[in-house]
Amino acid sequence: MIDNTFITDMLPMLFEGSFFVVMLVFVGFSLSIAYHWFSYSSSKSTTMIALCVYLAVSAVLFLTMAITLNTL
Amino acid sequence: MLYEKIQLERDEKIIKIAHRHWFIFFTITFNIAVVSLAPLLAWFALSMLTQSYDATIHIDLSLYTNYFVYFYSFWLLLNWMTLAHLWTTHHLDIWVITDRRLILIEQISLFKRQIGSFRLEKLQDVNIEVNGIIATFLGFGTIEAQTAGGSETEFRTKHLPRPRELKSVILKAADERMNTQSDVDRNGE
Repeated sequence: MIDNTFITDMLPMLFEGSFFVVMLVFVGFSLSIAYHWFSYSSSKSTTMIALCVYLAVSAVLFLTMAITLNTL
Repeated sequence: MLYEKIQLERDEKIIKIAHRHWFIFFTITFNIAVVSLAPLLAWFALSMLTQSYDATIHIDLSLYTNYFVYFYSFWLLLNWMTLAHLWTTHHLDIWVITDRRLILIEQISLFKRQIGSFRLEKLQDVNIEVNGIIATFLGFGTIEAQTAGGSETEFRTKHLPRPRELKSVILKAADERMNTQSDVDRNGE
């Protein structure tokens, strides 16, 4: 049965757990694609721009998740 | 970078590098953008349903805004990572034409990669295929290089930009290579 207790107690815990799981997956995945970009790309400047955009957007999304997590 | 990985021979020069056409990545990005927006649209639809005068759903959505913002950021991050993965496989599919070889690198997935090459002396024919209105107007198509060895199916790539130009570059490089080889053989005799 899903009631208010579930929403107020369990959901924040689930979200906090998911945050750390996603962070771990993200770090592994980012290292992997950065390796591919730097190893196999034909243009260093394109790789650098792509990596900066990728990390900047990811940082904004993680920041939003972290701020929202504190308000739950 | 790439050049250390493909290990060019001494004095081997790269004539042209071809990536897949930008339109292909544009369609991928568009699809991911649509998927990314879906929860946001659902949230707005739900809020309109709950706020209408004769609403049958009585939920105060403002209580759950923070949960939604968290979920939506999470959703966007997953889509962003998917896009990064697809860009990797798109950007790292490359045709490298040198003055001696044709090298085809295909990034099938993150940990699956195929590299094939053949010497231009073995080139028999280059076929191109431009299929559809968008491909015709934007100028991309399929290129297939056939070799004397009979392994032509390995050298076929879809969605390469300016296939006619690429074909002429390959054929010109092959002709020059044949002439150089003939000169070397003649001088050797």
